[in-house]
Amino acid sequence: MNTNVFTRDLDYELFKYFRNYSEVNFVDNQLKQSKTTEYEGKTLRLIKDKKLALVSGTENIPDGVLLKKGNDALPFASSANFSFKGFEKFSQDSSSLVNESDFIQTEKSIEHGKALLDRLSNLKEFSDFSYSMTLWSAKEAIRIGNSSFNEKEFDRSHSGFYLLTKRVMPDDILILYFVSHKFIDVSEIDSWLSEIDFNRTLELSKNIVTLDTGKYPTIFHPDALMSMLISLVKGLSMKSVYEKISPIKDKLNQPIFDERITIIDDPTYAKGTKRALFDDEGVPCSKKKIVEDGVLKYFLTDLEYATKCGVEPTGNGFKESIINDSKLMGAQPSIWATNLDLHALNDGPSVEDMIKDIKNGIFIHDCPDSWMGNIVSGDMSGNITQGYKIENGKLTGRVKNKRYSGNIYNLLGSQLVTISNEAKMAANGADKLPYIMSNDVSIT
Amino acid sequence: MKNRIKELLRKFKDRVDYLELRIEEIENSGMVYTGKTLSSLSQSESIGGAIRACHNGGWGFCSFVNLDHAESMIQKAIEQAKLFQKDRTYLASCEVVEEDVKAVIIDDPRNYSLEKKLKIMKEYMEIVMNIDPVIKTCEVYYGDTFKNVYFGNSDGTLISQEKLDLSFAVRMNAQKNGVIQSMHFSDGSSNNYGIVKNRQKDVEKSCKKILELIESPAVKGGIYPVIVNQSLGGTFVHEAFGHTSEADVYMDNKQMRDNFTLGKELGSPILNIFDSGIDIGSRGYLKYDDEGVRTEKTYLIKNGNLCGRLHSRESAGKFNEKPTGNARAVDYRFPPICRMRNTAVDNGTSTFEELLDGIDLGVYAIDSYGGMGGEQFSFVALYGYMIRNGKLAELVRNVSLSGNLFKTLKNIDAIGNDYEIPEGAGGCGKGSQFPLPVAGSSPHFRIKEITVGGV
Repeated sequence: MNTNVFTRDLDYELFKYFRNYSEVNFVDNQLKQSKTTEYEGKTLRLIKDKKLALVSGTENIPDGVLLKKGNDALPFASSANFSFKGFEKFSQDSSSLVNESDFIQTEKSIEHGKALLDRLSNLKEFSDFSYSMTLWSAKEAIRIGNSSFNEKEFDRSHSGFYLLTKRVMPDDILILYFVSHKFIDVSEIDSWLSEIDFNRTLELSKNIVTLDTGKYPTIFHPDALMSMLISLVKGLSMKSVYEKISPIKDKLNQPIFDERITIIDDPTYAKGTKRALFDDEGVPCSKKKIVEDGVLKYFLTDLEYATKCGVEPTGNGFKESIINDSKLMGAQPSIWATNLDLHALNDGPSVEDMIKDIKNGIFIHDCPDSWMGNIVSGDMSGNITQGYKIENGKLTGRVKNKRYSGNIYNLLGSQLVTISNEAKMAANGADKLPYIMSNDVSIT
Repeated sequence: MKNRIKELLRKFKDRVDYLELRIEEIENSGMVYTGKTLSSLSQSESIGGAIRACHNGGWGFCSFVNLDHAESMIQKAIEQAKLFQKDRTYLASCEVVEEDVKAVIIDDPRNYSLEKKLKIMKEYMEIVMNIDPVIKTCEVYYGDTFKNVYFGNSDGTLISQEKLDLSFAVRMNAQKNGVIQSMHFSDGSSNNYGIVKNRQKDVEKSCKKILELIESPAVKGGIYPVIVNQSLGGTFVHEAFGHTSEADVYMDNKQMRDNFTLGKELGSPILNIFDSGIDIGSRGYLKYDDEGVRTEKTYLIKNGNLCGRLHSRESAGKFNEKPTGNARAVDYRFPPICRMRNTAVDNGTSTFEELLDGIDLGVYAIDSYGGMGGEQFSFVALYGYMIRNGKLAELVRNVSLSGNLFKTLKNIDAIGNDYEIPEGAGGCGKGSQFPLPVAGSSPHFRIKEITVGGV
């Protein structure tokens, strides 16, 4: 990192982000295209006279240009209650979180995709389905230097693929997603299909069943729970606490959920795509129980709100985008969780046993819009894009055109029935979550 | 820059069926007030390039920020296209254009200092923060982006195009008696900073609304007749039908093509839907898309029947239809894909009173948090009013709606005569390409039956 333009008296932070990404796409059973992205960007934050300016650009914009823009903006800039000086304690060795297995050659991706498509095309019972697939491989490098430490960095990588199955009927478009956050070998295809219960899911989805509006015992798949937890993270944010809008702002060390709920924010989780040595402000990330036995133990914070609230930063200031996995270079860091781990219940039931226990209910696999709307309150409503009716202990068919409504603090609190004994990697590749069952969930 | 593009294309164009190069210079500025403090003042300057090559139907795409890598990235895109080749390249022909498109700007944000922009945003923040202590948080956002996009392809098209996009939003949260409620007000434009000025009354109106809303009940979930206003109608048409009309979704899928043949009845006979790139000033306005195709007003549904699609050159080639200027990329990091511009329900004939008439129990849903497309689409209103016996009744919160492509458009049984293009902040996020500036517009209209989520 060239920091020559930054003088010793300057209070600054220079964040650099490099991303090499490649993707192979199959669309409707055919090989379609490759995409390669080489991105190099940087963000400079300057503090002077308690003012904070932020300028960003691609790597090809000289540091001096950014510095001049930042200096010009400083007189009007936002107020800063913190400094990048005096943070020597956050200095640490650089390291790599890269998995060599994530580097996949294009030819290998094509071979893998073709093998999987061949395998699926041989499933005669699903000959009316088409398959699209994206196989990706990414490497990121995050570098940060500031007035307190010269530079530290870590690299990380991820790879995987998603499979989209589609069946189009005159009055029904069935689309199901399956994601793997590791690149599996051709010889492992059958075991992966078995692991995701591919045949049963497609078979079940072909059968559309009706479900009346009402309140039902409901099982939430880890993918559905993942969308719902965004509401919790909003409540856990020190920004929401500071602004007095978090419904759990006064609940530190008090129960907020059922006592069977324990949630860990785990940046050390080696398989999680959000694993990190430090956040996007250079604060070391650490594994922490945010909810233990239902009791709130931690709020998550960045530098700004740590200072405002008089607490230590937790290493949760990230330039994350909710839409894609790139960094928002032009934005101030905001408060996000890393990899969330909601503990499975050791003596809990299997998901199959949970289903068996329900006479009339619903299994919600996916409700991707749960994070929209008035969510800081914990209130959520989600379009059930993949859900199944449970009748007399069995999944009987796919439910269409239904929404669920609830509040995260009730769904994991007074409405919680049980938690499964197994946890799975959720679709975001970061969160390790179990199945949960809640009672009296409103379905319309 | 254009000469450099021309030179590179000349050097490599004979190696593949099709080659294009896009270089973007992007400058943006943004500011956010959080509560009473300016929490972010940001400026950004980026330069990046994108290359697409197509050979025998296989595509290679490369994006990069180091312009010295342009040649090697072109070679890589060509190699990839050849690795992916199939039978033949389908690309609808389009006019070869050489043009420099200058942005025609009524009121240019670049003529205003940061200080002046901040002063306006601060005033809006102060209105929100001083109106009532029940309003706990306020976020006032402003952002503008100015782009120079240089585009050339192996057909000979060479275009430079200036684009402006600006938007602002005032967001707030209130808390009272354990109820937490959000509200926002936003606007946007592609040619006029003036939309940011003198909006004090609109901000006050949002404040008054959140104070009413915090005292209001959540809507009771169920299936209701629903009237949507122009802003929510815009979100509805974007999510309920716009995404399905993007032809790249089904150009390679026989079942989809068979299911969406032109002429198919999809909506009620009074329903007309179009997508327009020619509404000057709208965030969905652009003269040429990111394949160098001139934009137009494209009717998608006429009298309830499917009559058009949103095309890239490839999808138009595969359907043997003409390209519509809908191939758009949010920036150089992405290839152009079929995207909307200003998607609209066309004006109808009913007055608002006529829409209310005959509804014993229903919901009037107003303004939008956003939505998601697909056969089962969803969209979330900022708030709503119950309709009782043909009249607006109590205010309700947490109004989210879900519909079905094949049913809901047929359930539109009355369309108002008050068409508007209500611009907002944010954008569309298809294919992770967020936030692409788009608009959604409509008059008020009535859906005789749709699912409303609630308590």
